[in-house]
Amino acid sequence: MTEAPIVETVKISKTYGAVRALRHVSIRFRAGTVHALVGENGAGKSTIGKIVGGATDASDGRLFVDGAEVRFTRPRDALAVGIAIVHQELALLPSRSVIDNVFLGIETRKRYAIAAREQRRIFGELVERWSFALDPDAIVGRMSTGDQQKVEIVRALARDARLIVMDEPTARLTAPETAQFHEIVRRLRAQGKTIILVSHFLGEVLELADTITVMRDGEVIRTSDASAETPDALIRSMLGADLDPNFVPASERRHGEPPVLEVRGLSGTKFRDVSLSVHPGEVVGIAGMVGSGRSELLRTIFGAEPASSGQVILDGRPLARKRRPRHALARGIAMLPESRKDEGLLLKRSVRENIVLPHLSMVSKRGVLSADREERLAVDMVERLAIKCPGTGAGVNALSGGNQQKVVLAKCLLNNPRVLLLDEPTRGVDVGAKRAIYDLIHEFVRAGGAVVLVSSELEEVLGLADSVVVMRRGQMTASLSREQATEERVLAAAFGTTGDGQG
Amino acid sequence: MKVEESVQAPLRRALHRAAGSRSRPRSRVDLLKDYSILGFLLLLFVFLAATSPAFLTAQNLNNVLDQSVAVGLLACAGGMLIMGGGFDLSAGAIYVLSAVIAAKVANATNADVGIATGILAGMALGGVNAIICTIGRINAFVGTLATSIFFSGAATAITGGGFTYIDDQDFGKLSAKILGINAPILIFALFALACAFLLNKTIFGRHLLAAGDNKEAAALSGVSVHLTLARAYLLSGTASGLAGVVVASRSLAVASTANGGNSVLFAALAAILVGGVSMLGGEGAIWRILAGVLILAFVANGFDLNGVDPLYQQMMSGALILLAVGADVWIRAAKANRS
Repeated sequence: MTEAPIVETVKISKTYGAVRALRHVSIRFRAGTVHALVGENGAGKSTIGKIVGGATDASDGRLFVDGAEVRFTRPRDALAVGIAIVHQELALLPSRSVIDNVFLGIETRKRYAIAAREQRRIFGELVERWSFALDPDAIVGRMSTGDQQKVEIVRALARDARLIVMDEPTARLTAPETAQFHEIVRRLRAQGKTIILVSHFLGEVLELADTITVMRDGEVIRTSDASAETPDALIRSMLGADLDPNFVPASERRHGEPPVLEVRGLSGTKFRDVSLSVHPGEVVGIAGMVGSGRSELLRTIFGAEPASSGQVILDGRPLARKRRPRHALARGIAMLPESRKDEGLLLKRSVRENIVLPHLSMVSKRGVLSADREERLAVDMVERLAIKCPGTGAGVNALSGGNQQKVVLAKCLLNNPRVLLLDEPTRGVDVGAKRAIYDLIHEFVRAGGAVVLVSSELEEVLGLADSVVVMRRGQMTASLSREQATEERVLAAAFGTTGDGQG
Repeated sequence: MKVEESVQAPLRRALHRAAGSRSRPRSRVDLLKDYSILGFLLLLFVFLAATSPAFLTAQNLNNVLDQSVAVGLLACAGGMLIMGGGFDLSAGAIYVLSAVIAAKVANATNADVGIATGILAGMALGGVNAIICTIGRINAFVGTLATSIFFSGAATAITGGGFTYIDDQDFGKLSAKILGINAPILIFALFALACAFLLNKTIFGRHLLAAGDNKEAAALSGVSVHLTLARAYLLSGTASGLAGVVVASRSLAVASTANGGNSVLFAALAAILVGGVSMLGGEGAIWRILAGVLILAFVANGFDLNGVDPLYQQMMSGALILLAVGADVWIRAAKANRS
């Protein structure tokens, strides 16, 4: 194990549009070690992994490999110097065999045909050397996630990777698969490979890593030996800053009134047995890591995904078991989806058409639209939410992220719903729009509305919610009142580092 | 204070509206696209009128339009389906099969029943596509290619190949002249108007564009994507049935070969493309499809009038599609590079 860094970033910064993802990040990754990057969602740890692996380009700063400055513009550049990425969402061809996937792009050729026998020999050597039990002819799409990940790793090894960036490798693995994976990482290190491990799971990080870098808001907080760290110390430095003083507690909860929305023992595609209730004037926050099942929970309440069991009750009346979003909308439940571009907006259509889409019956008679009523309604919403646009006829794709998000919110508020399900309401919007969205949420609960809020930003959940439900790997790990909900408690329940707040 | 606000609100709304309607939703790229297709149509018209004295006569124009009716019907309905994210490769086969059914039924009963049955048959065949491509979850290209082959086969099976002649002369009333204009042209004009109304003025039209733009967002906004697309398939089938019946009324004879259907289908697709409908769905306009139909019809007519070999017509149509679609792509790319 040499002390010379195999990869070093020097003052690397990265901006996406107006959003700064990284700021002057300098990290030395030593050869033959496991180096973990930890931080909250959005701290910038995945971005560093992507820059080192050539999946994205730094906006500023320098990158060194073996002491020589390099510039990667695509993953192939990184691969050429022995750096590979194993993605969070595995990037494999599901209908092809293991061996096809491993050699994709580096096929051994004999004249123009693929030299199948030669590839099999190389594959056999690789699998034997690293003791992976993989059938070369198995179809990747039919394999477990854990095995698919092994295929990705073999693929990196077949390309002679010396350094492998692993982005949340165990987020989707079962417990035995995770244990197997940890064994693989140790074996790779023993053979001199370098691993950059981006992970949410602090236990895993402390167990595997030699060195840990803590990041927050795109900056490096500290880099230190793993042996010197504890879960509590890591969580404290990940959090850092105090709560945003701009948050005003919503707390308009009306005691004694029955709940507007009740969820009883609901199970769906990625979560099990969740129960919660929301009263008039109350914001219930749902905290948890990406992939903890929080978005699926909202989508299932709304009818966008099927429930396997459990009940959703609105104003004392249960919603139909087999419901669609239009049924939820008709009963006064609106949802702001996680991704405004993929699930929220019609990007080719105008602001007006987007706003009125969920409730066209409000502006029509027997299926025929009234242009006047439509325009009036759209203008009302544009004014109420202060959406900045050249006119309601402007294309929604020309708007800034914050104003686009307000358009999605306008869709939700159009028919004065009883319940708002908000999934990452302020993701990728500027500070001003964020403030305005918080104000709209306050206005909504003050009028007696009920809100379920999912957010990756802990300050947002703690600042807005009257009570907090924490989810981890599809299960509720804590249900906390406003007073009980401290950052440490929520994070501990979300990361699963302690049993605190179980229940 | 309250009073002031209530007075101001409508005023502000009015100002907003005025501003909104002045700065129409269209970006500069879209405007260029609109003007360029209209400009091209106009230039073509002037050029033909100037070079060929036979062009600008009532009879020639009547003929040109009359011959575009089948293509136009398929293009309007098919274009709407594409805007909704669907596709109908079987429109040509439905066109042939419904004409065959209309002819057989007319011969067994009378012309009116035959005509009605032919149109309804088109609608029913569209319903088959609707079921296959929505609830059946089969890809639209695959599903309608399969039904296209099936329907063509059925048409040949029913007739045993060759022509089917319609005995009842009354069937020909669909091709009569009204006020000097061929009735099929009027039928097509009404149909195009109905399509434009459906697309722009109804909930169905909105849902269709929403489904074609972003299926997921549409579903989360309460749109039933399946039901909406199913209606568009029904419309496409009905248009094909109508086209089949109208064309059959012209000669009172129906050819049951797949060729006739396919050439109408491809001409309709060409018009849709020249009309600038995005194959990805979510945008397009009936008037632009009409412009596409007219451009292709005038080009063909110009070749005829100037005595050019019809083989070159096809080459010209192909080049026009590339030009229309290419111009759109290149303008957008150039704009994206600049910003």
